[in-house]
Amino acid sequence: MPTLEQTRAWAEEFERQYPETLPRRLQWLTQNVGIRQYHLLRLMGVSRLDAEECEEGSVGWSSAVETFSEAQMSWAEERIYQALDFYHFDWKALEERLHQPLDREFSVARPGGETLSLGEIPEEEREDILLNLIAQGGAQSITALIAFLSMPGVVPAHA
Amino acid sequence: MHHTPPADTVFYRVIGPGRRWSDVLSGKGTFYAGQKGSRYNNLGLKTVYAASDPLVSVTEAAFYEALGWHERIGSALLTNQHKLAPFGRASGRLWAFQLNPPPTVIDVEDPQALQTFRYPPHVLRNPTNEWYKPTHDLMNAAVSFPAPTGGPKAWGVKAPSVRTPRLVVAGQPPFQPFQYAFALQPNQQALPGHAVDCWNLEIEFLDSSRQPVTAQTAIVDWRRPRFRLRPRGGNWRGAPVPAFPGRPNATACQPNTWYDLEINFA
Repeated sequence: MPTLEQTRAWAEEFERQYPETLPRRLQWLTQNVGIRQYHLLRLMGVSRLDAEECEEGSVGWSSAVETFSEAQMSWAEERIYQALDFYHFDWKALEERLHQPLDREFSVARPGGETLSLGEIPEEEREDILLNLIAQGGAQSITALIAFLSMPGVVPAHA
Repeated sequence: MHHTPPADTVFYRVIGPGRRWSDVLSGKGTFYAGQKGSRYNNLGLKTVYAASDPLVSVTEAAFYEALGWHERIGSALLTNQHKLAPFGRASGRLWAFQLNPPPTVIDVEDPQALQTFRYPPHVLRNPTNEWYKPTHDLMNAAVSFPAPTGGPKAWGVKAPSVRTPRLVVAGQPPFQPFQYAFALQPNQQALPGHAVDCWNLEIEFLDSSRQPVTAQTAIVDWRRPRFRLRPRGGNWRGAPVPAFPGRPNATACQPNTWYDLEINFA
């Protein structure tokens, strides 16, 4: 039950810590909120394979952010900012939430009238479904984003 | 139908914490919004939404604040519902600024605009917050419209604020609160302008007795939240926010004082 005073304190602390430049903001999100580089890269529109390689260390994060366009980085940052907003800028609460996959809470309607919880959908499909919902925006996009960011494992693209 | 706000107009806009002054006039928040864009801009058009009436900016922000709470309630498990109340937040930032110079826009309520661009006026007040095709088309038409002979080209629209109730005062014509959607020109990084002041904005939704919502509350009065401005300190004076001169019976907003607000949902 956050009070006004608590939300004020969270927003002010976030404001104190959140960097000014876009690459540093992305770095801050990975270091402080526990957003995985893989997820950030996928939000930027990077392919699964390239995102995996970057996360495995074959592409350095600091040099990677220099190769992406401002539009890609801003779009991804704006999405995660919305998730922070959803948690009243209490980034520790968001970080904690990301440790618990939304396999049961998030459901997806399928053709034929079937509704499946996220955990019932084949792993290789989950990521694309969620990324499409995030990109569309609207009612389900924030919960889809939290579900995406809380996905624990990377589905190997080259498996 | 072309309208240029007076040069000394003070505009207001609410954005979240952690965003800097350079973010206020960049139009990025709307540019990188979801695929559906915002009311007057689709993806690909950087747009700064602002109002010369501070209550319009606060009301529009309060509407989206309500939607945020609806989503938090609607997406949380039943067992977690008791953790959500009270429904108040202190994370908005109300910025006051001047534009150097204010861009010329198309007043989309002007009869000449209705005739030129051929749309029924009700599309301007469609209460949806998801489907904006006709107003996107209208904005695109407005910024593509050639400059009138000897006059400046329009870069945006002056449009009714869908979320701010119309005011009817006996003996006066109805007052329609409005806002601006200023489009950035190609290759423009931000609108030229300077900050005047900034406050922390607190918005709280209450129960039907005007008390903070608790886990026992049955009815939340989503239409009538209250808001309070708090001085931010630092470089900002946090002065009283002057009343908008065009609004009937308007009064200045004093810092650290709660005010009731009314939101149009439909």
